[in-house]
Amino acid sequence: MSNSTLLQVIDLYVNYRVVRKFTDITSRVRSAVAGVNFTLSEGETLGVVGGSGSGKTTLLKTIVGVLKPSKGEVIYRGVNVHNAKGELKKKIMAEIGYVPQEPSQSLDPRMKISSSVTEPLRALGVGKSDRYERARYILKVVGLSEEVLELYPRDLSIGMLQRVAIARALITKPKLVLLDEPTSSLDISTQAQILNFLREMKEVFNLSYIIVTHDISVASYLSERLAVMSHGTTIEEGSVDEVLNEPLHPYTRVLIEASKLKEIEESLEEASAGCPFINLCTFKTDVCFKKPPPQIAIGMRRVKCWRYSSK
Amino acid sequence: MVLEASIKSTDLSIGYEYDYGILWVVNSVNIVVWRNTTYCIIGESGCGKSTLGNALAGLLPTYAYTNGYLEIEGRTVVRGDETNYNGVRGRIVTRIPQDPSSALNPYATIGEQLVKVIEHHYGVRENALEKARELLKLVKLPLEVIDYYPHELSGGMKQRAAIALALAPMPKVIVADEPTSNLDAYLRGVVASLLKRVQRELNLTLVFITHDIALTSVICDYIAVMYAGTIVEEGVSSKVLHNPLHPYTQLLFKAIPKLGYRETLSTIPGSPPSPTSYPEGCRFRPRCPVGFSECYKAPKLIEVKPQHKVSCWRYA
Repeated sequence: MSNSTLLQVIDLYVNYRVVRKFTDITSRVRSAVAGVNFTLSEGETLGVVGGSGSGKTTLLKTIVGVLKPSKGEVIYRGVNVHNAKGELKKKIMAEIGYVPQEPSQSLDPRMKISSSVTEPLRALGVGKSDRYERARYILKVVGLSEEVLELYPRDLSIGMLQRVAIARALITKPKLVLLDEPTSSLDISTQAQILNFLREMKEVFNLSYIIVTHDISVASYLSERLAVMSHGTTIEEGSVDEVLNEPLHPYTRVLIEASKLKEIEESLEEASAGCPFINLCTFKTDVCFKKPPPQIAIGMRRVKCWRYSSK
Repeated sequence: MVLEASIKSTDLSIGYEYDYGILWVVNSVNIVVWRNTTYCIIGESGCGKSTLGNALAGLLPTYAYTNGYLEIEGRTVVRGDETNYNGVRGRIVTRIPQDPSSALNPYATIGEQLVKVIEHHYGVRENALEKARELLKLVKLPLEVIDYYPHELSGGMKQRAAIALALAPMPKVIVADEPTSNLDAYLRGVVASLLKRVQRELNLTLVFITHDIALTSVICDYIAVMYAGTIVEEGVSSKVLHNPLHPYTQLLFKAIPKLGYRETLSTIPGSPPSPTSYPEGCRFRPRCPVGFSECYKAPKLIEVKPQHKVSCWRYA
């Protein structure tokens, strides 16, 4: 694994407009992603873990260029993804693959699999015969037969659809693939097949992944590094072993416990003026109620918690 | 404590009509669910677990065919092709659906819905509102939720409200059909713990249908594993989870990624058969790594260890 930087996300904010007709609200924007920083090396996999509404999907959509950041930058190999134009933009589009959530919904039901899979190449201006040759090759790689090309999404099982969606992301020979909940709609046996397959693809094409999931064991199976996301920011980041063996943030601890098959104390999350995790935390102090915690670096790890501010 | 049967089925089959006759989606299921216990039905999509759950809750569509017997709390609700759920459906058995929004009326507040259900079952009562507040407290929702509309609640709160609504008629049996599959990992644990606590506090019989095996060890007393419309393994949850006997269960458990475990996951070759083309004999035979000649005959669910049944010729 080389150590050269592939992707840099610097202080990223993505705001959505809040539409309220009759009530007075103080802010007309809400940040779905609020201050995310990370760096991804070539061939490295980052798992982004968090609950629903934590801004994981918005983060991916911004990296791939579908959404524009309100503040901050996404730098891919030294180029700002959102300012790139012309040939450079096409090159970046080709090198970042994106597998959206829910394969059954992301594939057009009226299009044959062949059209769906070759669509990214058409956008890049590749000729028809080249497109189909590449599609046949990529389908073989993902373990589907050529006949699938002539079928429609309704003819395939959900596991096969997920392979098609991954094939569509791989067809442009990307270096980085963004996976949005790749296994959440799959059964256990299909999930295992897709997870093993993703790992195999990583070896074959020397890919980097960013995997967004709410299941910490799925993320830890594929990744070298973990980022735990909540309320739009990464509250903890570090290598898989570090985060799993000694989680620093109380929310990370709860996530790990949730997957270790323990009964969880029921609590309703409530955002307050201070740290949003007061209800989960057993170490809270006065400052936790007043101000949201800053990001603190401990060696190679980063955590947002007042407990570590003095260390 | 003497165990009393709450749900008892004898050779229960449920089918739907299709072009070439009747498609039996659930085949000869024999289960006994004891009172005040949690019974889990696990299996992959399309194995018939939701159809079985609907039969227990009395929510089979009119075009469904039945066969065999089903008794709920001493009443025979299915006898051959006749079904009679009067007085059972919605009163003795209620169901918590997969998608809480489908159980909640979008145009009525949570309080209105709760009061309506309480009044419907127990007559107009002055203390219906009081009872509604108690239910909200039981599922740990803040009391102001009584005036909220469903769209004002988050996913986890909606599921809590749906649970409160299912508890409103004071049922004896609750069928929870994948109540956690729309929630994230943390809320899954929370909602499952909540159901378990409610089951204990109110002495309910809970039938929990899920494909999330990790959750079953948290809340279940008994587990039934379904494959292609039949129950292939059944028993006390600790025995099934720690010492699975059926090859399908063994492979299924090995396919779950565990925390911090990085070796390649084992997978089950092939995919589950469709109800139109179930293989002859044991239905897992085409995918089974340890099958032999006996497997061309259909195995029976037999007790091979105390409180642990399996349907596999290797143990016959």
